[in-house]
Amino acid sequence: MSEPRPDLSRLLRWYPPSWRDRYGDELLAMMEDTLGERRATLGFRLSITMAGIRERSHIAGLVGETVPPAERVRGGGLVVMAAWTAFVLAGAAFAKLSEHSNEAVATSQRLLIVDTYRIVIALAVVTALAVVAGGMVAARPLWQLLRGNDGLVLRRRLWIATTWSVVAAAATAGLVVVAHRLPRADIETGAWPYGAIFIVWAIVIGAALVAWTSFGIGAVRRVNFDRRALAVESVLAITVAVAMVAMTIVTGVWWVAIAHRAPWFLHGTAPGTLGSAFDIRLASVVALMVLADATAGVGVVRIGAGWAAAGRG
Amino acid sequence: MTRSNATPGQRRSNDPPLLILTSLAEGPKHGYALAQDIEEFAGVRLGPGTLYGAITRLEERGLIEPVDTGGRRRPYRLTAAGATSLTETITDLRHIVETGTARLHVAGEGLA
Repeated sequence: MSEPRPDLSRLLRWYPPSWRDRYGDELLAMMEDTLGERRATLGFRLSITMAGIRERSHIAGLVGETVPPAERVRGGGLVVMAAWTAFVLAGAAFAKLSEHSNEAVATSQRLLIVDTYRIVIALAVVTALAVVAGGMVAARPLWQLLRGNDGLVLRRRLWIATTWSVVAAAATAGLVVVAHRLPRADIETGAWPYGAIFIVWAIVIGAALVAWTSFGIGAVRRVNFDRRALAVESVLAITVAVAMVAMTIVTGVWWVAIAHRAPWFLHGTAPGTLGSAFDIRLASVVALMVLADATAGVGVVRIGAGWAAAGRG
Repeated sequence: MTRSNATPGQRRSNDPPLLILTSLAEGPKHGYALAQDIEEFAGVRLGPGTLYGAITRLEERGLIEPVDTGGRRRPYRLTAAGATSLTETITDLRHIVETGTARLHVAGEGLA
């Protein structure tokens, strides 16, 4: 029997391991029969890639009507969790952009700007608590999973996330030390070297967040939730999604308020200078928030569909 | 009679699960043989990714099952549930075809 073609074998990596174990050899044989001696075209490779991603989405419970209801609910929760990660990055950027915004306007005109900012912070705390509560619900089965033989992948992700967290803590301490030694004007304008150090710090924080999300997604995929725990996780995921939408709306209100009362803050010009309400950095942040909201919405619909199917079946 | 502007691909069914079940109604086939047969009777070319995606879903639903031959080119056959599902789908399609044909005749008479 001839050896499988390596170029085609590599395409199989787009499929989930369990699918490859079951269908991998057959699909490879069919690809060889279809192509003969010809090279795989870009279109052919793309179609296999897309099919592999579809299978991964299917196994994760993200798509498909043949997926058991509990897996659909779990998949919806995963989507909300991934969306929340993107939202946290947008929120961190908003926190940096809005830093000292209350000082840019007269005390008598601060009310709306300060209030909207406080509401965003309060909602961010609510979502963080919901995520922590979700982790606590999963803590016991997660601990059992981590101790078992099936927990190898998850233990590796936990190790990576912990390492990134230590690096992030060290980077934060370094940033604080540097910030205290530099003139405030350099910090506010993001001048060298503070600007560069801040970007490195943001990348490290982002990496830590992505690493923990990867661990969280792996955990939610593998942990065995009973019906009650799944219901609690669903409520928490919906709470996070709703809070995300609310934060986006309030951020929009903050933007309108600051553009109306202190447009100079958006452009870093002298107080009293008029300017456009548009700011590309803020627009990018809000766009990422909206994208995260839409993604979380897809997750919530998936959760609802899962529970509806569970009710029917 | 006016000629249809539809291409052959538009006029034919492009539902991979239905095409696979129809092909297997003739007997067990492996992936490549299925794709060739489907192209022959339906004029639809199913790529390996699409075909195996549909095979996965059909096997999950218990409508087809593998025939163990030990080789890499594993054939599939219809299960009893698959045969029932195909029969029901064809009955539904036949009803649509008959309704469409009858309505076209009525419309044709109205236009004449």
